[in-house]
Amino acid sequence: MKKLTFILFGILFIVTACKKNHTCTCTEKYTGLEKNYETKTDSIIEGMKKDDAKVLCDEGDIPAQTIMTETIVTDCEL
Amino acid sequence: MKQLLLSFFYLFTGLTTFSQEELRFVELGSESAYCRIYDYQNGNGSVYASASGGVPDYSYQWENLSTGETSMSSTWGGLNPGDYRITVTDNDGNTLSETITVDSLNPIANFDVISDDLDPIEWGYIGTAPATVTFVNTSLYFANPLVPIADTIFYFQPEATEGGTFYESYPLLETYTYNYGGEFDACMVALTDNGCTDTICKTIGLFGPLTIGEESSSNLITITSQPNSNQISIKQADVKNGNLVKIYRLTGQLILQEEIYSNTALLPFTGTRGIYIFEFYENDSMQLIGSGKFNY
Repeated sequence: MKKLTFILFGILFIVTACKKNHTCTCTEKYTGLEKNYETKTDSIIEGMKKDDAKVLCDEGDIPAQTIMTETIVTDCEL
Repeated sequence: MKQLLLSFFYLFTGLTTFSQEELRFVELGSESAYCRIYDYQNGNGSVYASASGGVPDYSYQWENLSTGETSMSSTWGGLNPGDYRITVTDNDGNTLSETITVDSLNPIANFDVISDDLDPIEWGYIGTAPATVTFVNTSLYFANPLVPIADTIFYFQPEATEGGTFYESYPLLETYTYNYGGEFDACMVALTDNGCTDTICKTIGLFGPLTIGEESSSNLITITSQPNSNQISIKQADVKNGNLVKIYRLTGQLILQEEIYSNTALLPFTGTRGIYIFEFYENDSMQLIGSGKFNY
């Protein structure tokens, strides 16, 4: 019984230890004829495993969109 | 003494002759004719002249150098383009001639694009959808001010389609909202009462969710994103026994599956902004009836 309790506490510790806050940085990059810029936005993903946080962060990606000479793309990285 | 009187006489006569002003034009010009297509139409141009000097009064004669037609007044209206010669004669029989050209003005269609959501760029305007735009008609030479009944029609289409037979008619001043991203040609056609036309198009580029392109969708189905209310609107032309819609992430993960039994449906959609794939199946047979991508 003592051993089982020890194992359970161990698992709980590992799970709790894995769930932490992650910073998702989204970079919006604009390239065009008359202006070029890059802006970064940080957002905190709280209490999530790294893999899950990465999936959530990647959902912020916006594929490159090109209108004539202008292109905008958003890429989010954990 | 006699010689002295004669000298005075000649001097007085000479002074009188010297002080008389030479016959000249004080006003001479034309108003352009407006474009016309057929000979029977009138461009409503005009010529005008006014003389001074010499010995009043004056008589005027305008002559159309192409047709030989004449007018005996100082102003002659209702003219078509061409060269016109004015001859003015004073009371002493002195004459003065000048030739004036009446040119033709073609209509110039133009409009200003005014929007806080757009920035001007070399090829047009760029912004992010949704964008509200006010179009202000700044066309020129479409109606002759000398002809009060001149009635020009303006056809306008904020999203002109290539190969379209004609343009949807809009008032001269129109505010229009582009809800989706893409490249749009806003076009205007000016059609004068003489049948002369001019067309202008301006390109508006908008980032943001796209409407479904024809190449990636069924003509029967339209998906419209409403990210502000976390919904998507689905319109179907033909619904018999219900259709099944499936929406996937680009990674292939199915995120929404719903049966739809009406032509229009609003579905809650909590996906983040980006491109999604949709598939439509006929409910009974599960036959694929349409698929494509949409931008949310």
